[in-house]
Amino acid sequence: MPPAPPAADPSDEQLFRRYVQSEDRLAFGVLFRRYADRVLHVFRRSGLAESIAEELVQQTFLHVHRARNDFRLDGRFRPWLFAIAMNVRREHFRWRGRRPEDAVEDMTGFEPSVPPSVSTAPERLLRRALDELSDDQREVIVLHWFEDLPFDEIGQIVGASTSAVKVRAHRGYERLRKSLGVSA
Amino acid sequence: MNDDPLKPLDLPLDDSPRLSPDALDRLLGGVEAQVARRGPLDRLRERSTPSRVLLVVLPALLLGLWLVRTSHAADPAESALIRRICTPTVLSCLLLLALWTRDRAMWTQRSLPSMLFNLMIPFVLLTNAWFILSAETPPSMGEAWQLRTPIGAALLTLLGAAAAADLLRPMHLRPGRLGPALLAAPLGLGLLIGLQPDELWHIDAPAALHGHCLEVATLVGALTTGLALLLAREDVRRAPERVIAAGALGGAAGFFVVHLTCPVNTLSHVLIGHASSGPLIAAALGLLAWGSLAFERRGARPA
Repeated sequence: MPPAPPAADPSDEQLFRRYVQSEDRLAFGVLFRRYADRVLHVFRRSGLAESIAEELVQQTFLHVHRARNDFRLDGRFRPWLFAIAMNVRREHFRWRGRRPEDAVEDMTGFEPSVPPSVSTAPERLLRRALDELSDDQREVIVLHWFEDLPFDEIGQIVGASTSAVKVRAHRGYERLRKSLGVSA
Repeated sequence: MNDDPLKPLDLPLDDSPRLSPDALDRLLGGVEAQVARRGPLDRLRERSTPSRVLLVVLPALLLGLWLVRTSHAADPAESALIRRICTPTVLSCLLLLALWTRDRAMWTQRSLPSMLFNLMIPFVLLTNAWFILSAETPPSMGEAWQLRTPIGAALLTLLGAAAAADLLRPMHLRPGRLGPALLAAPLGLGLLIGLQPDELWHIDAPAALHGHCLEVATLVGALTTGLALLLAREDVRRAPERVIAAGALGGAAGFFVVHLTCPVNTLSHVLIGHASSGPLIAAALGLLAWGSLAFERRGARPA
């Protein structure tokens, strides 16, 4: 008798439903392992230092726990999670008393995890170019380029229509090309 | 060649995973420890947004209706008035809860209650004008009250519940900017009511009554503000504008309760006695919040 095929991994929504309905901590742990790195990446691409980014990842998942009763059980988990992450990031900048546009000063506390000789020079140039964008443009670029999310999902995350998100992305990419000297 | 303006730039990126399994465990352990440490108040904040909004709005609503009932229960005509107050109030609350507390991402969708509120202002003006123009004899105080009370109650409940839902919003929604609207609403409505023709509003009162109404409005306002701040999920200590919005929400609730129960309608009384508790609470809390934030920032700044 052939062995039974391995069961497919449960979807994010199935896992989160399990957490909401029966407080299944294992399900929460799986979701954390799936997304913590991606959320951290978004924070670092937003110009935050490593230690602050890690703290905000914890805050994001703490808010996920607190808001679990507001999650629509027929809704999608990923845009919901990223929307919380982006609001946590905004709150952090608001508390620091400056706009996200000024995030460049956090670069002084940035601890690169790769040797400077490998890829930090272009990365640093890119970060500086990203810091020149408006916050609305930067969050769309970070989610679209680095997280590879579709525009309709980004719209749900940032609370804007898909066409508004595309306009922001268009202007952001145009400005990045100009800053980095990359032709269209 | 990249012809699509929406296509990402063709640059080498360092996108390798950053967190080792140990780091992931450490971060997850931190979250689980905080979840395990939560107290009864944290558990209350974890309730769904509709139930948190009800917990904030309901005490002021019940207090207002109780005050109306005790001051008018002897008169059967006034019992009908109470029903008139209850119906639009409860309906607008339910409408708001349905509209605001669901998972809507877009700002335009979330601002629907504010748009309804803005539409209701000209409605109030037009119905008042119609009421005055169509009356063959000057309307009595009771008639005038019957008109203004349900509309005013519905307006303020609508705005108050919208603000409560914004203050208590789930973290996946962006904050609105309801604070200024909340501060302006009781003052604007106070002006609107106070500047009505004399035939409609002719009950005056000694200046000493201003203070009594202000006391009640401030008491109800402080209760509502406190509940809103307690049940908000975000860290309001770090957001003075949210604290001001909570104070303004309390002021709107105080205005609602006092305005339902006090028959005095002169401009000075409505503005000082009924409408000024919101600006007072908001200003006091705003100063406190900004002061403590500046203190915290100074402490957090590296030497």
